[in-house]
Amino acid sequence: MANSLAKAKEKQQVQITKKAHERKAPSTLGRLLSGKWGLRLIVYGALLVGWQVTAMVKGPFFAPTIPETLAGIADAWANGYYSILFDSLRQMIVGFLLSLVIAIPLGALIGRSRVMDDLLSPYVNTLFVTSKEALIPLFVILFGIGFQYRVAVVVLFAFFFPVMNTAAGVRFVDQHLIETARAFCTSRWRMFKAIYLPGAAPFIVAGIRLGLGMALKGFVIAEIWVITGTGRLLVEAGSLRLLDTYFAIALVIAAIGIGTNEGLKALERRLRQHAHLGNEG
Amino acid sequence: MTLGVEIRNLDMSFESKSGTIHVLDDIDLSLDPGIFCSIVGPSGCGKSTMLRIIDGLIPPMAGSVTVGDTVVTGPSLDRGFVFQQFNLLPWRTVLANVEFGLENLGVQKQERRERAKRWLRVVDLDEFESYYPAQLSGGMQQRVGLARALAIEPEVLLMDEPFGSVDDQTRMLLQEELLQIWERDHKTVVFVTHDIEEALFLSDLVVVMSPRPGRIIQKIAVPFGRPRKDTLRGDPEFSRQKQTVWEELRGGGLARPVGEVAGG
Amino acid sequence: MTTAATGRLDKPRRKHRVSRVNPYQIGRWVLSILIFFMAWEIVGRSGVLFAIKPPSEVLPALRDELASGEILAATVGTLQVAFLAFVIGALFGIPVGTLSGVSVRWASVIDPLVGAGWAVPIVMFVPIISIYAGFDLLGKVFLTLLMNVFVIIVNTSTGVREVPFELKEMARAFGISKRQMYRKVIFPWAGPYILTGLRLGLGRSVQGAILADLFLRADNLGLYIVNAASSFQLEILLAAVFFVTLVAAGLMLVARFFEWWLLRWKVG
Repeated sequence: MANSLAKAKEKQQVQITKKAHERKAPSTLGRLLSGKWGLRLIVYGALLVGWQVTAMVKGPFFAPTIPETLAGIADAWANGYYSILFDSLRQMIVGFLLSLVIAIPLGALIGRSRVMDDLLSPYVNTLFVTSKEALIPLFVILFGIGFQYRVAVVVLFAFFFPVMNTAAGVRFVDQHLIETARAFCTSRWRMFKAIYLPGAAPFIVAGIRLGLGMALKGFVIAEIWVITGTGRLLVEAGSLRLLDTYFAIALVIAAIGIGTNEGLKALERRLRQHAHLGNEG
Repeated sequence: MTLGVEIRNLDMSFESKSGTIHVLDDIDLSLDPGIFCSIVGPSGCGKSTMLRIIDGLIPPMAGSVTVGDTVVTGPSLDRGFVFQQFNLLPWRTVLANVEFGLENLGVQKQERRERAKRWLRVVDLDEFESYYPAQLSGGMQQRVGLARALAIEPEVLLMDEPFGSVDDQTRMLLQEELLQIWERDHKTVVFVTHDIEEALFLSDLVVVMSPRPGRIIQKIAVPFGRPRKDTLRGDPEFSRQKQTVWEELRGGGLARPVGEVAGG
Repeated sequence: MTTAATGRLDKPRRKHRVSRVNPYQIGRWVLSILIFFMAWEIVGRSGVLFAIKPPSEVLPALRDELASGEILAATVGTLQVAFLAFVIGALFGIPVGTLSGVSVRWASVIDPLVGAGWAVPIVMFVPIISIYAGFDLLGKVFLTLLMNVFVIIVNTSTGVREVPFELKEMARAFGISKRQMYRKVIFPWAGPYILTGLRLGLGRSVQGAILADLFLRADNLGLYIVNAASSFQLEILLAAVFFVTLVAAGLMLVARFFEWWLLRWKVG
């Protein structure tokens, strides 16, 4: 038996020496690619070039070239499309704030109390799993196609993440800290301010960030379904193949989505550091 | 079969955000085959790094390590490594964990199984072969780690503070078990620890290192006979040796000629 | 051997199998569901929100529709799209996520794109998907794919990235080859994360397929719902929504069970 092991090790040793000889020095291309931006620029650049070429080849009814898109943005501005978008966003924000006002306290309640968790989580979890899109036709019947309807749809979509994340944040607050605070007879208010809030804050912001993403989705879905507001612009531009206009609007929506996501992520990071320092205090 | 270890002019530095960290400074160490050598030193003195260089996990900046007649260029199954954090694969049973090195050697399934079972019996865990690591205590997990390293029948055994993560009582029992296993074939062992008593109890040679950058301050030949018994711990001579090593550690870092000191 | 003594000190910790579900919990869940149905019945009967019909009307309607087979055929049609998009999403998303997890360079390319995909409302592309992929199966699958792939990629890359360095070091010390590192260390470790990503991806695939069947072109379940809505057959509309919820919840339960079964080694 010992022989087979020794033979196996010999084979291994040969492989290792072979690999050691095969290690090459990095080429210039390799070094160029090694920075964080090296590969990024190449890939993104290639994508943009590919886009431009496809647009030029296939014509404006397939895709707008980059200059056409920029012109489209200028046109959209001139035609007041962005004020329509702004108006839609305003209504979305109302719905979003409403959902937060309901969701965050509810989440805190679920996080604090096992009983409430058991009673309420089934609904929240079902809401996450079910198709909210399937509820849209029902919402039209219930709320019409105006402001109420838009707000209702946004609440429907944006509600889930703030609840679950707030609950997680409240649950996460270190039991040891709570115990210590109680030993020092901390008042309810101080407990909330100095222990629960900093501990749960990063989670709550995460919930808001994800909820905002869903709110954006909600308002777009609502408006596309009944063809009003920004949704109408998108649908019409799409069906008339006015793709420069379409992308002028879509790109701005995308930018808003990405911008708010990154901004809130940065806030989250700051709060998480703060919470960590707080926990060691 | 076991081999000796030659370390010559070993030097190691790491790049970090705050600059270059010089961890090992011109290490020279010659270990005869079959010796049990412990390396003691303060935290951060580079002893764990040195062990990894010996195993070929990290390439040195300068100098070389030779095991037998071969220069170390990368990890090899001629050497077995036991980690402080056990590093068992949590999704595998105890038996499958012991088989790990054997798989990489390409040993056939049947033989692998038999060998693994044999070594589990040596560390007295054969009843637990179908348990998962999470179901075992720290001491038992480390015995699995030991079995895994022994199963590949290495020429040299490298152990990085293997008993550092278990409680005192378990540690002392594990030390005795290790010696019992070692007595069978007297492999070359390089054993890193911060525990002076452990080093003295287990080894033939204790190498004392300075704080960073790690240098060898003293090499102390341990005078006690083998096999070592538990009663040795209470021996007054043992305490004296402990004191000697401790004083070397405390005074560490000052320029001193490196030589072998026999006993107190 | 002294191991008899060792055995006494060294017993395996029988991890406290704290039952994750206790009778009080089940009681509260049942209570919760009962309250829901009661509230639904009351609101429905009272006619406060005229569109809400009580379960006493909705459930029989559902039973009839199931018997006629219409709703089942519609559901199967939509689910076919969902599963197809799910499989494609997994086949594409897991390798991309793995690449992002193992290579810092590729992560710098992939992560921003995935982050954008996550933050941007994909639905806004509905008006133009037909230009690139048509209104039929291809278009629907494409739309659904856009909805599920990002969550699969993110979860996979997180799992792969978080493989502990010590485990990889140990594997190297024991002579593992690069290919085996994936099979024996990286994927087993990342497995739970990938499975979570797949479960979430499955949920989103179902949602995406329904979205496609409503918004891209009314078809299958979408058509079913739209018909019920436009002819004001409210019991049927609510029955359809209720049924969709049941199906989605059922799928998720199956997925969770599958996940649990695969991860049995995670004791305690």
